[in-house]
Amino acid sequence: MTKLLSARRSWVFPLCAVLGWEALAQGGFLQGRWPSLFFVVAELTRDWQNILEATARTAWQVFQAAVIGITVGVPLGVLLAESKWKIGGLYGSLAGLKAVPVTVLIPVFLSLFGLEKFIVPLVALPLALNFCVNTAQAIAQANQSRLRLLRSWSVSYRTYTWHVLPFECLDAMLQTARVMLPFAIALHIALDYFLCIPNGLGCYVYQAYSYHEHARMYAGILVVGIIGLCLGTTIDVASRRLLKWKRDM
Amino acid sequence: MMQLIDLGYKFEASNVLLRGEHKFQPGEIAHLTGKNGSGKTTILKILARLLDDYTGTCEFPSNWSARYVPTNITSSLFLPWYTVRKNIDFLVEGAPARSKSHELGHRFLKSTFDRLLDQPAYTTSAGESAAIAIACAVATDPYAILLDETLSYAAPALAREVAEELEAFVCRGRLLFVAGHRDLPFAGTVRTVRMVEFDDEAA
Repeated sequence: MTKLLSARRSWVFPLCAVLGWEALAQGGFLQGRWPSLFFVVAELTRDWQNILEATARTAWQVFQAAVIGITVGVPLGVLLAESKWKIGGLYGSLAGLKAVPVTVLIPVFLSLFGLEKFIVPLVALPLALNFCVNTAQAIAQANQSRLRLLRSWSVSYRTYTWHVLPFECLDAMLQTARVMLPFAIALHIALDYFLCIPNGLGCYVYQAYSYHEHARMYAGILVVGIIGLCLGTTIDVASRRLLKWKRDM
Repeated sequence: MMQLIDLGYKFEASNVLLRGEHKFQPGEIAHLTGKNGSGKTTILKILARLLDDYTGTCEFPSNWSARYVPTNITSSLFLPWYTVRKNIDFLVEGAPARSKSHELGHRFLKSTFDRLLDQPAYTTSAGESAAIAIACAVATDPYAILLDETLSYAAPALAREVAEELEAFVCRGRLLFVAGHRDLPFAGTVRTVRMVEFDDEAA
């Protein structure tokens, strides 16, 4: 019964959102720039081919950026944790730089120098920065008493590094992914919007906005929301499966 | 032989102390007793060389090696993300020791051991974890085994089986330290060492 009630409750927010949307559209708010949800969905079904192409480009480029960001950031974080760079202030500088407004501004700033062809590395930059700092933090905060205990049982540091540290840091890594992957999508769309090279969803939304096709613009934004929702759900499911041992202990 | 003289460890609020001179010969079982917070676990951690900023003297034999089995085995000694089998492999290096740990595991836990082997480590009960950890410790044949309340988790029959094996281990010229409040299920002589706090001393 409780399950049924909570399942019912999960429909309350989307229902309110739809009703609120329609109220705004019918009320003529924003000088008629807020189209009815029916027009947005109609636009979505009419222009599905272009939207799908733009979505595929965005998804592929964000995927590439995520792979680069994780591949570069995580090993750098391990090196940072293991070395004495922390003392030299590099760690503090990176930790400061990873603040979200700064990481948005760096790629936007770089894009002003005609780096539009490098949209994937630009998106990968804040991802690498965040994964680097968070990996270093996770390693520093790993269960040190477990390390000392296992070392007293003659478990080598190499074995510990391969069999314990990745699992100890997994929660922090998934948390980073949960924050940074939707952020990467948003950043890609923002860069795409500013640079407007025929690319992904950002450019699609910008073009629709330029031609005052508001229903088409909101169709693009709706797709961005759906992508974010799918990504969040995927990471939640992965977390539940990968950290089952933590939850059940 | 190992010797402890006025062993202490300074915490923020209090000191723990093993007052006087204590010599432990190979082949001895030492039972550390004392009230909660008197420092039994701390002494075991010093003996396991997990704490090194202690006061007093602690003379270790040249060939000293110790296996400390903590209270919360599943969350501090075992790797809960692995199966029991992989944990045994992890704690016991080398094939002969591994086979010995499996042999002991079978003896202690009978038919349930086979079922446990492929289960995630976090699903094992406290008694089962204790038996497996002690089997691993015995299999690695260290100079000393340090048990922190570990035996109290085992059911009486299991505790007797484990105690028999530990006595055999001690008879091979090894040392056994057991911290806890309950009587130990050993047939042979057990030396009781009572922990004293500074507060007790002052009183």
